[in-house]
Amino acid sequence: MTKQSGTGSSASPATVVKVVALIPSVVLAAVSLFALGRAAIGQPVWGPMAQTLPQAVASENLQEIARLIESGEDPDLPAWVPSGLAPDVAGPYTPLEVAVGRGDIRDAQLLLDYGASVEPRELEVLRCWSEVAASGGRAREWLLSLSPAPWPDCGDVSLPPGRH
Amino acid sequence: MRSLAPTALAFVLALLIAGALAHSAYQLPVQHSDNFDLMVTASGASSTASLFVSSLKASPTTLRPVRFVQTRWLMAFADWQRLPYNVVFGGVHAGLAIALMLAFTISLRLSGWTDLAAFGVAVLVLVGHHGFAAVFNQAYPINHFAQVALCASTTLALAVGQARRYNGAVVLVMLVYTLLLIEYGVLVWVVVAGAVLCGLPGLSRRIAIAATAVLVAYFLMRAVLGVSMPGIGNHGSGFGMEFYNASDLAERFGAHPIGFLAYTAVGSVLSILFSEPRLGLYKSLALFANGSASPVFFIHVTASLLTTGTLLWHLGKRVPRNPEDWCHRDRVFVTCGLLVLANGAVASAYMKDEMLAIGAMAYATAVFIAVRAAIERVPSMSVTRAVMLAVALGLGGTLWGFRTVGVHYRLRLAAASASSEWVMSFPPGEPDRWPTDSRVRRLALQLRTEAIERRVIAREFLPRWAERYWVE
Repeated sequence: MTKQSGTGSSASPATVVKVVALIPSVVLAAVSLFALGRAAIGQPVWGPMAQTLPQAVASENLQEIARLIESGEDPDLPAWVPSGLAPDVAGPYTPLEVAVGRGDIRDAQLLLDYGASVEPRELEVLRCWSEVAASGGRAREWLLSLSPAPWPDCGDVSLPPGRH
Repeated sequence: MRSLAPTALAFVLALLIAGALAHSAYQLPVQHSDNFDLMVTASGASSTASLFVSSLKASPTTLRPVRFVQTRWLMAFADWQRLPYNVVFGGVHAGLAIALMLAFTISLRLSGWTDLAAFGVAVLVLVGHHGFAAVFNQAYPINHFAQVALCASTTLALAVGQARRYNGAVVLVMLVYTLLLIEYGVLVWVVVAGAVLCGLPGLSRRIAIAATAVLVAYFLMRAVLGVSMPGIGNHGSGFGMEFYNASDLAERFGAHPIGFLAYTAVGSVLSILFSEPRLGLYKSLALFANGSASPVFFIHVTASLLTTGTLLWHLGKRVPRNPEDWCHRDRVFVTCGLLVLANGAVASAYMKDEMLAIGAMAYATAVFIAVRAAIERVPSMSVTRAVMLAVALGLGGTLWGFRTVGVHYRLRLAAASASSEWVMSFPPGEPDRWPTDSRVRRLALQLRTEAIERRVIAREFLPRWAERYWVE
């Protein structure tokens, strides 16, 4: 059925064109083989990474937030959040501090639904933290809705990450 | 003697690329939207027969009883084997990726090194094409567009091969199956009709007549049941530079639909050939209006221009005007052209990527034929032209390969989004949003738990630059 071309030496123009046409798919197949191999040994390319709860909040990873808490993680426990993910400098944050610092009301509400603590002292910290964190202002209305208590004087309040 | 090595190598390439695609597709959990209600209905019926009958009148515009039945059977299988639903549905999703790739490879009837080289380009065009890739981005819980694409590809594979006694029966079963799965199944009939019209050897005129009778019976059944076809207002779609949701679309175009239908049909064909427009939106217009466009636009359009340019050269220079002079490859090429046009017509009510899946497969097949013909002509070409062809194929293949890797990236994003959707659909602190019926509540809890336990990578941990080049 097929008429073969390029019957000359291996360096004939037809052979060169065939090789060039084939290279991208061979490269992709090799990458695919590598990816399948990594998956086979439990280390998939672009696979899930181990995260603490504050890190999961920082990466807006709702699934991981739910998985960690439903498997018994304390929703108030602070943990180290590296720079790039942290709402401010790298350091230890509670999950709620991360959510408020990022102005992420959806995740903050989810943490509350899961039983995270917003007792008066913690709420004061969060309100003051929202004033200084880069995106914290977005959480101001939500923080006001949590309690009728007046907005605190933030002068003496110790803020994350240094408070932990 | 004909060497089997190139054919074997082609299958190795196809299986490796399909294996990685299947792995990425498997990560996708069953999504809440589009699926949960279906699974509730499918698992709640007293029997398969009653489910089939009730699903005939489930919607005034869609007739998809097989979708309900296959969902019920897979759920029953999972229950019987004590497997998570996501393992079963994810397994089917992954299996479809491999089956589609095999059907595509078989339908090309590869033989020799020239075929292998052309296949190297075509396989990247297939997987990297937005129409084909989109069928893996959504599980419904079994993607019906992927199933129709598989049946269409299998039908084409039968059509290009020898006439066999079982071809008719297989094709008719697939046609009935896909028609009762989703309206898009009508394209399987188009494959049959196109193949017979173009004189492909595997399907006879009798099979085409029988397939047409099935199609007529199908439309009669819809008429008797009072089920119309999905039209404007069933789904959102773009027009020019603006995207309209379903109700806005119906309000704006519902009274005078012809112009919009023509716009979307033509746009669907252009999208298959040039990756533009997408979802009915012309980013090229935005480029002219704003002077800038996303790198995704340039990558997609350049890749498409290189391969569609090869197609148009082949159509203009190599396919004889007189059908009597057509060789086997010409017949396949023209059948694929008809399929692309028919896919555009079928996708006229609204445009979304997965509705272009069969057009994308036909496009990749036509690219294979055109590239193969171009490589065959190299010995009679000048050196300059041969170099230009090599550059075009190398660059085109690289860009399509880049698009293919992007499919994996987008599947990761889709998996993260689908998992989050379950958390937000049934939040822990809002009992009002949970189903009240205990059976439905159990199912919701099971699917939610499965989605949460199936860990996914957060967007933040994927390469930062990737979104700019792979996400539209």
